[in-house]
Amino acid sequence: MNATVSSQYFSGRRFVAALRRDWRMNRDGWAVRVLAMLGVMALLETGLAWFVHKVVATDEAYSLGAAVAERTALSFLCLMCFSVFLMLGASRFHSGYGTPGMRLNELMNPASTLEKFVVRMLTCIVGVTLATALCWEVSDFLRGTMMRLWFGSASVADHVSVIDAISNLHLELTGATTFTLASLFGWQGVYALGSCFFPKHSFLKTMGAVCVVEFVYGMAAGFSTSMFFDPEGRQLNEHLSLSDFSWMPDAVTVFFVCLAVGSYALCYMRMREDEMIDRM
Amino acid sequence: MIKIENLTFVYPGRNKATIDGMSLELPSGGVYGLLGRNGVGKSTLLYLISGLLTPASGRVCLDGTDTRLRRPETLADMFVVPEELTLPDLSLKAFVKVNAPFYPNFSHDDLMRHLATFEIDYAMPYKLTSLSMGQRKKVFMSFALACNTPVVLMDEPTNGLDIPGKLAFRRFIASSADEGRTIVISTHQVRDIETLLDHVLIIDNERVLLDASTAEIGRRLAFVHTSDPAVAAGALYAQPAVGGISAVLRNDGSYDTEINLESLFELASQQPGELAEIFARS
Repeated sequence: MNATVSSQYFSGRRFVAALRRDWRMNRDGWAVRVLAMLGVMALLETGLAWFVHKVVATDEAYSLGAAVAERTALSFLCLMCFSVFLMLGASRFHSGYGTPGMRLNELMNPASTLEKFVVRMLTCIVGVTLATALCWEVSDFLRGTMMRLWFGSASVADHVSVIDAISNLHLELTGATTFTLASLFGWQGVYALGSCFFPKHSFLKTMGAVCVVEFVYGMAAGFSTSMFFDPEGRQLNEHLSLSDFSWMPDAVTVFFVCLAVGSYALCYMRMREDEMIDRM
Repeated sequence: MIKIENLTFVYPGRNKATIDGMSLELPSGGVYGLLGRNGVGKSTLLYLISGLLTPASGRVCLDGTDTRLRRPETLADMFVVPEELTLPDLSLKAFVKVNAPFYPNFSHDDLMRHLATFEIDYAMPYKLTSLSMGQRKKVFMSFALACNTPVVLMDEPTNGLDIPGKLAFRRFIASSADEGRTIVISTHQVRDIETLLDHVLIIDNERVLLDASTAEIGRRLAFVHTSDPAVAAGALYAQPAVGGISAVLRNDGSYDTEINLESLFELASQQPGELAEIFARS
């Protein structure tokens, strides 16, 4: 037996061949998406910084208040961009299976499901995360350059990295960075799973499904909370203080890690069960 | 060897099985013609053989391994050429470069030979997606056979080919068939494959109507063209043809005729019991 097909589940040579195949077949599409992502980020970031300068700083010296406002706005934008682009990337997890012809090509490719799964993880999850971070860094550099040109070097907020952005928005919560990263990872898993069930317009359909689930959950939680805590019309904060929720970040982190692991496990099972026809 | 055991398949949302309890063995080597009416499940059977569909019951094994498991070793041993192709937005060179490493017996020389048969230029500057349907088929079939997999499954391979393309296809299959390779061709274009086949399979939903080698068919049946109404009256099957009647007779050993697949197919469809009785005799 040839070394290329020596292992039933995972072979290094076969995995490299599968990775090379996936990359070569999707390279042009990814290049266009990354450039579009960079363009959108640079436009939004520079536009937002310019807006903050014009509205908050007016024509006075770049005050501390304006600096804080700019950093907060950029941090918010950074997290927004990461949330959207990471989910868009994850929505392409199952993109090679959209039509019967594409499915046949993927399913008959002599690599194991595990190898195909890991290839997709590397491109749609890890690769997109790295590309998004790189695009943010480049767009932040562009923002700094443009702002220096417009307003002078004294009136430009410092570089805002992703970790900076998270800590800027969660100053008081211990463990907030971890749970924010965990939530991004968890939602990536959900959108990857969504792509396995919605071959077309996967991002929008998954977002719709998530909204429905969150709406139902919100209604149920609100209803049960009012029943339990508010039988006499008192507010919830009369019963509990903020310190009662100190366990929350850790619990949310664990929840999102479990959500991610569960979603990816279901993605793998779905890939293994894929057929020429859609049974959904 | 491909072994089909008590295979049943039902499409979602349908009450009736497309394939119902089919059992069949395809020994290694040779060109098999898979014939049947529209909707009897020829393409479905090819997809079931290749593990692209999950049967409701039964299984298909390739050399003892259930093909539905889609193990890399099994996938590297078979190649499916579907009726409608979706090829990536790559040049032929790039396509070969990224796909050939998965097939241990891929031969670049064979690829060049097959492409030459179809008059396709390996170094063509445009992408596969810009090719016509017929050209795409030629490229894909050339790659399929260059992979030298023991099993090649083709669904309507001559659809979309022009007349020179069909002639080239016959040369192509004839030059690629060898003792170790099983080529299964599902088609309605019987004239395109008539002279290529080593074995004929005719199926309907529930039964295999005919499973016989062409040598066996030639020994048991005679395909004659006659203008004598008496011959036609005693035939197993007869139909008007240009300049006379095309008839299928029992072969008592006095005939050595070429198989007429159209007539054979009609005979199998209209008189399956009689055909089964003829082929059951040792």
